[in-house]
Order: sequence, then structure tokens, then C-alpha cells
Amino acid sequence: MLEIKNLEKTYHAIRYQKALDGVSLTVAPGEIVGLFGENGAGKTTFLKCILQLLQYTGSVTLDGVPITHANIERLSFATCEHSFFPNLTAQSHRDFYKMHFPRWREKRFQALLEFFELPGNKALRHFSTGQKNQFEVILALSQGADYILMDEPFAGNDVFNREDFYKVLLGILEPNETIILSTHLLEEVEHFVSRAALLRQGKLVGDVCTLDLEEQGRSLLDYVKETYRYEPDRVSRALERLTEEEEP
Amino acid sequence: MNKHLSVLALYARNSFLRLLSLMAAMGILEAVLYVLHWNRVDREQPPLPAAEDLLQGIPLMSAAALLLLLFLLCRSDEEAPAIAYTLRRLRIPEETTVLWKAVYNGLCLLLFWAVQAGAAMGLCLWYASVIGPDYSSPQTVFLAFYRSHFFHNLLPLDNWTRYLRNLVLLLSLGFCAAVRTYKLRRGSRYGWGMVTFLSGVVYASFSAGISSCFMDIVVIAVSLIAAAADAACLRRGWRGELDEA
Repeated sequence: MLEIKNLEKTYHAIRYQKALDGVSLTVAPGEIVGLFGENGAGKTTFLKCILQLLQYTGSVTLDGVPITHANIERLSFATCEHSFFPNLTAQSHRDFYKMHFPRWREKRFQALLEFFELPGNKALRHFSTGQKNQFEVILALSQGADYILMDEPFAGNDVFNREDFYKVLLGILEPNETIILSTHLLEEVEHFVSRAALLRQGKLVGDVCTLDLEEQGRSLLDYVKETYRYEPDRVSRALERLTEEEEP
Repeated sequence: MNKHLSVLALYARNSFLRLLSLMAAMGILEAVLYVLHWNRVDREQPPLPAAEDLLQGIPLMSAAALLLLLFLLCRSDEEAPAIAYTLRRLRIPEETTVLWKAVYNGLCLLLFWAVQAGAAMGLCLWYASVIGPDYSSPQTVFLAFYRSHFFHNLLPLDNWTRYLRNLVLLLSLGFCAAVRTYKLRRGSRYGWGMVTFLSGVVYASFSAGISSCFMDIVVIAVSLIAAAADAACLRRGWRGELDEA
């Protein structure tokens, strides 16, 4: 169980801006949680705090124990920033990761590499952006982690590629594997995630099971719009104002 | 131990081939330059120049190669902030990976020193062979390394403080280059300071002919102080800047 309680994070360099403001969330094993929010809502900061990459106040525990060097291997991270070594090949990464992550999933790594037709002996810097994203996710999935955190992992991949990935993910995930996926692609992941957490200006403003939404006959997008109090006529009003101003 | 060695292997896989190519290119270019100088010598008009007289430009070429080597060591994969996401989830602390990077950098710089000394020795031996027995003696190479500041600093004969100075200087430079990568990864914009300073000390030490034992000790002290300052940064963990990265 991943428990996040009263997570607060302030960036001192950005005028003491609060990036996270008392966020609490409990994620049970096997859940696939979609983390949604506008740009700057605090999604990436939230994931980085869980991974202990940033200093914060509040608590983050894994099965009741704080996350340290002793249990950090239970978390993996796929980010659009790419956390691999660009000068190394896929197979070199495998050798390195095997040494540091004892629960490395060799079979899964090779199968995914083959499925996405990624070359094993080519330096990653020569990969296309889509291939780099795929490899980043493959590494996160093969590490043998219980909690797989993903931050916009498919930014730059085409829609078919992303679709393939969701299908593969659903097919290979084991019951104890948990995913926290931060993305803007709401409609695409609607049928992939089992739960949606909504962040706005550093606060958790929504937390819902997609199954409940289905039972209510509402889509995830409707739920997000309601939670954010999205005004559908916002654009038309803005355009009207703009046209008025330009008229002599 | 394997996980520690895997970090060292990671750094080697990352840049060692490029570094070897650079050293080979430096050796070849220095040989070409030396031969060009030799070809300009009027061999009909004795006395012929000494082996060290044909060195013009070679210390500068060596300094340029050293700077390029440092650039390659520093501008590696690991400076990207996102790499920290991986390094900080390894079974060894990130700071330990920096120490392994320092070991790797130090070994590369020592290899660079060995290659440069070997090249210098090779050029002298070649020169002794081409001028023939009339102009050379078994002392030709020895005298070249005794008289030329550059050669003498590379292979200081029985001057042990000079060996110690070179060793400490290059290892400190390797350490500072490793910490520089670490600082950059943590969001610092001013990581080059110590590396630039020590590179200047290396250039001055190897080419300017600092000859006294006292100066050797001063250079050793300066190198150790620079390394200690960076070690303090590493010990502090550079937390503040990581946060704002």
C-alpha cells in the first residue's frame, strides 16, 4: 500500500509557490491510477516527491515504511524527460539494471523489446523520440517494481503506438503491480485506468473509480469538466469579446 | 562489489572509446608535428638541434587534448538532470556513484599522462635513431628529459616530489570533474569553476618549468584544497539546488 499524507511542496525559487498543498492519497496494490490536471497542477512534483527526488513535508510510506534506499527498488519511474543513458545500448542497460534491481524481469524486457522492434545494440541517442519513450517505459516495466510511476510517458508517440502500449500493459501487468500514470490524454486512458485522481493548483480536487463513473453513465471527461467547473461557452465568449474590440 | 563495478563499467562504456581515440589522435598529431619540424632542419649544417628543440607547439597541442579530454569526461550522459532519477534509485547512494566517476576520471587522466609521456619518449627515441650514431649517444633521450621542462614534467627522472605532484594534481582534477557533473545534474550553473582552475594549474605545472620542490608542494596543497572544497559540496549533497532544479 502506498500512502501519501498531507504532502506539501514549496518551490522557493519560484516566489515560494506552493506546488503541492496537503495532498493525501492511498494507492492499493494492483490499482491503475490516472493522475490528471492542467499544466502546473503539480502532477510531476507529486510523482517526484513519492520517489524522494524532491524535499517535501508530509509523509510518503510504502506498506507503512518510509521510502529509503532499502525499498526504493519497489518503485520505478518512466518519464518523458528520459532517465536512461543515451550513449548506451538497450542491452547495456539490461546488464546494468540487472545488477541493481534484483527482481529484474528479463523475459518481459526481451519480449517488449521485440514487440516494439527496438534494436538491442544501437545507442539510445540514435532512437526516435517515440522509440525512446517506448524504451523508457520498457525499463520501468522490467525493473521488477511493485509501483510503476509514469509521467507523460507517451508524449511524442503516435496514437496507434499509444493504443498498442495500453493493450500490452493491460496484458502483462500482474495483480500486484500498480501504476500511477500522469497524462493529459484523458479520453485515451479512460478505459485503461481503474481510478482517476485530479490535481488542481497543488490540491487533490477529485478521486474517483472509473467503474463508479461507468455505472453512473458518465465519462471521465465529464467528471473532469464538472470537477474543474469547466465553462463550455468560455471560448465563444472570449471570441465575442475579441471581435467586439476589433470593430471600429 | 559487482554493483559498484557495474557503475564503473557504465562510465567506461559511455566514453572510453572516444577518450582512447582522442589520445591516439593526439599522439599521431604530435608525431606529425615533430617530423615536420625535423624536416625543416638543415641537416647539412651541423650542429643538429637537440631532441627537445623540435618540440614547438607540442605542449600546446597536449594542453588542447587535455581540455578536450576533460570536456568529454564532463559532457557525458550523467549530467542530464533526468539521469539522477535512475542514479538515485540504485542500490548504492548517488554520492558513491560520483566517487566511482572520480576514480574513472582519475584513471583516464593518468592514462593520458602515460600516453603523453610514452609519445614524448617515442619521439626522442625516433630522433636519436634518425640523427644517427655520429650525433646521438645513449644519453640523448636522458638529456632531452633533463633539459626540457615539458619532457621533465612528464617523466621527472628521479624527482619523486614531481611524480607525487602530477599524481595528486591529476587525481584532484578527475575528482573535481566528477563533482562538476554531479553539481550540474543538481541544477548548479557554476560547475566549471574548479575544473577550469585546476586545468590552468596543470598547464602551468607541465609547461612553465616550475622546478623547485617547494613549488611542487604548493601545487599539491592547492590541488588538495580544491578537491576538499568539492568534497565538501558532495558531502552536503547540494540539496538546496536539487530542489529548485
